[in-house]
Amino acid sequence: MVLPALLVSGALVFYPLVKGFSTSLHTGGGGTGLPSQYVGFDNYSAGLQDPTTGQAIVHTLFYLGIALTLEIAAGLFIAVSLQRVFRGRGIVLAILILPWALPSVVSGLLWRRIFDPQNGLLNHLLLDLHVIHDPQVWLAGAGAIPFITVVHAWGVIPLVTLIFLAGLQSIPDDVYSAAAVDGATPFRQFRHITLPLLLPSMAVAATVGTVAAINIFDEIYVLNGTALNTRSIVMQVYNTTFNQANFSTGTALAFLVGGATALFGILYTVAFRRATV
Amino acid sequence: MKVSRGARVFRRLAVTAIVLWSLLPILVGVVTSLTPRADVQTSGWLPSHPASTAYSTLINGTAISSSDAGIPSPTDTSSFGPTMMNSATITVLSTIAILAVSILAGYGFARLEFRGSRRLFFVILATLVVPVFTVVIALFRLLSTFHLINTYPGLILVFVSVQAPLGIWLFHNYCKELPREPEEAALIDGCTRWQAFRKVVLPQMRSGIAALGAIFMLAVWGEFLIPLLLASTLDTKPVTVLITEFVGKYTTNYPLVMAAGVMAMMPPAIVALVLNRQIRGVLSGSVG
Amino acid sequence: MSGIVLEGVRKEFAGGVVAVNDLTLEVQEGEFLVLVGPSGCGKSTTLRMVAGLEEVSAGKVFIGGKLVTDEPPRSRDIAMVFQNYALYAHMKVRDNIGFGLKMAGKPKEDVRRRVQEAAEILGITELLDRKPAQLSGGQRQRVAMGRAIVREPAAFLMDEPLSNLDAKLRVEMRAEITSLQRRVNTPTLYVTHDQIEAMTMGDRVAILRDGELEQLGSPEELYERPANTFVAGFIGSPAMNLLAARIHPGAGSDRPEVRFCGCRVPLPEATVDRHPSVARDGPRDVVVGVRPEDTTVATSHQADSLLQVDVIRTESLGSELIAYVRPSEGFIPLAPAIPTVDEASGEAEGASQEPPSGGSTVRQGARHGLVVARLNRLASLQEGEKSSLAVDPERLYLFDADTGNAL
Repeated sequence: MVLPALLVSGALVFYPLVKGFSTSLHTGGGGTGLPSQYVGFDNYSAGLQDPTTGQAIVHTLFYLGIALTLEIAAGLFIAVSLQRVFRGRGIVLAILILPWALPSVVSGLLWRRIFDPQNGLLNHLLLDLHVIHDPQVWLAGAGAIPFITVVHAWGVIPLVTLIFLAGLQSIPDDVYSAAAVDGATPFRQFRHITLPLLLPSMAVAATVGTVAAINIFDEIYVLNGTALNTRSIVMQVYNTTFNQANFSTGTALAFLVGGATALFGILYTVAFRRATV
Repeated sequence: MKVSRGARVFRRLAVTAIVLWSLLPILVGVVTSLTPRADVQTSGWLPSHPASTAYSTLINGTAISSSDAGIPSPTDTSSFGPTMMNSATITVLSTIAILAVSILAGYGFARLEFRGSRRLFFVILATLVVPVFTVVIALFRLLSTFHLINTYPGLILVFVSVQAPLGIWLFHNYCKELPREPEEAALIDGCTRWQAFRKVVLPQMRSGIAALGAIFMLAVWGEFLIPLLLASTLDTKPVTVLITEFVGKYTTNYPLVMAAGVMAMMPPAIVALVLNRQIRGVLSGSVG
Repeated sequence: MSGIVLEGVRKEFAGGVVAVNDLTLEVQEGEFLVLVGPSGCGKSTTLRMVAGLEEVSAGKVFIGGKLVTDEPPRSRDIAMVFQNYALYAHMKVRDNIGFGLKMAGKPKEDVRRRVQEAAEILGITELLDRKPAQLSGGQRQRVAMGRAIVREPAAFLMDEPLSNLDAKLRVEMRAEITSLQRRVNTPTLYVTHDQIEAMTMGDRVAILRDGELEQLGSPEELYERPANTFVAGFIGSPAMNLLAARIHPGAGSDRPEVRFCGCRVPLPEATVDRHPSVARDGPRDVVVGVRPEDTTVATSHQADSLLQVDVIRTESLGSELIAYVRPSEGFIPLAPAIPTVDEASGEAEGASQEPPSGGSTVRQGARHGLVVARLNRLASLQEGEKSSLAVDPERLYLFDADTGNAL
């Protein structure tokens, strides 16, 4: 009874990967009408040499850095604030999950209303407060990435918060009492007791956040399409594969991203295992 | 433990900020969807004349009469209903399929031991690391060969393939925690393995199934990239894809687009609110 | 005035629950004072108020001569040992012990030296570079103690530190803790629910019940002169038998006597001198307390002053014989003064926890409706037969039937 399930998942995941890898090593074939030709790693180098790919990688790294910082800082703050039981805590936690539960295209859409140049509420607010004089186009140019990152982080923070909450709850109350008796102020308790004991949770949060950031796509698509100034690596793969109909190169890039993600995952695991043992 | 007054005030402020931060975009969307189109640019925070025309347009599939450019055509608005239905159908069917695979495989790995089970498990886990996109790209070719593009079964297969590894892992962990004794008692009492599973183990797993089912539902409903590639015809397109089309075509018709967004987010929001305790349990328990 | 002083300390929780009511006591310089009582009596709350982990509703707390009632724990110059040790799981033992010194800003070399000294005293030097997860329960307890003594504080506070250890280890650690305390001579407030710990470790013992101080005195005082039936029933293992009785002041030349369960025991001179009301007032109802160890099997069977009993069960411990007997007449089992465990359901009646003696739950005379006697191991007593027990008249305790207070 278990076997069919295993076979299905094995087939659906494994086989396409293998086939896909072989596709990345050829040109033509499929729907292009050209005969399939083995070209080795040419597709990979072509993809990498495309200047837009380089930019996409840089953008993605920015997304990653900003997102992780925001997520961990906010997640920690929220978790600490909601740590103790209080009246209405259940409702707050339920509301907290909503940003994560929504489809990311919808999130992008909602935030669009805030960032839109003509109709956006952010411009509206800043104009009213006389902070700016003209409506700004937030999503054009180089400064667009942080804004998209905020939208992305909005959806990831609930998950990170829950991870930290679980970590906080695993610390017994008595340990804080002991630290208080030993002379630690609440701030020092946080620094010497809470933070070190939260390292494992941070590792998990970092891993989750990294995977999410590298895969960022939906929000960008809704907010800014395939525009180059905000293109992420997955967006680049999409663009190459479908808009430019360059299937082989696109597949090659997809595998590169896959490899990089795997590498990150392994790096994190190793690094944090060393830190916490 | 004493909670100082300062801490209490801080917490109250923090909680307010947290709730605002979580709800603001949602509230913005809802408010905008109820604003008449002409007022959008000027109305600021609250509309003076709330109108639900956007919703009726989408539900009834009619056109909005207006002299501006960017009037949604009847075919576009009338497609809203069908795409919601698509989303619903796909989500329910996929969730059932994913649960079936995850439960069986997860239970199998947790309880049964057969040659190579460890290795196979590891392989399945390894696929978790591969980003979704890579798998989809690879699957695209495969599916087109079998003429499964733009079909429900094709789409569902892909979703299962994407979510199953995670589901198997989570269920495997969950099954490990369950006590063996009731199962063993059933076996002694004369049940076959399958009967024991159906009568004893499944009921035990009820809360876990609910929790994971909720998570999968949310994941599938929110899928965008995969349907974008594999389900572009009207009879398979989920609402997430339709929304981006609206955004692309009717960028200035905010109420309409927001209404679409609000309606598209209702089902996941309801699931998240109703099952929020179970969801929280999974998110913090198995990952933390 | 050094040591620990509580003046009129009161703790009231939201909802009107009074956990500690007007408690006044003093732990003197170098003294080891044990705070003991059944679960829910307010002892842990009291300790936490002294530590500053719990707000004081009314009253004052002094430590080392300083008024600390509103000070946070870190300003009170105290050290505390917790029931679950509360060690810092992510730090090595040496950093656990040295944490308080580090918080106080002591120079590193100083810290290292003092940690080493403390470790030597406790015999854990080889554990210094390990982490708590790698230690056994007893070792963790020692680390917790090390963390406390290294700071040389004005007072020690201990919250049931031995409760999580197995019985044998508990006996060992009892001795170690007391000798350690004597060595550093720091005033110590020690909380436990175990009356044996209280009796063996304390210079003085304070018994609490429902937030009230029932009696404060040395172990001997508590044993010899319990202030009321609660204290009498709490101290001693097996617990004292408490029986309904009646005092008859002697008329003329007859001695005053106490009558219970069909026997009449004349009261000796010393007893009458101590409780003049006995001879003076008319007959009255009292509660008489008979400790199991103050009974013997009578050689003759007839005297009025003997207690006639049916022997229900005997337990031979090798060193002594415990007999559970039912008096043949006039026996009304009294409601237990202390929470007990109902044997049938295994649940606690009243407050919930194990009986204070920490040993077998069987030894509560009133609970079984049986009187407990602790006899010489060669005593001739058979289950299912009748017998006569002689009670030592000089060792009878008398309590008022209404208030429970000693006469």
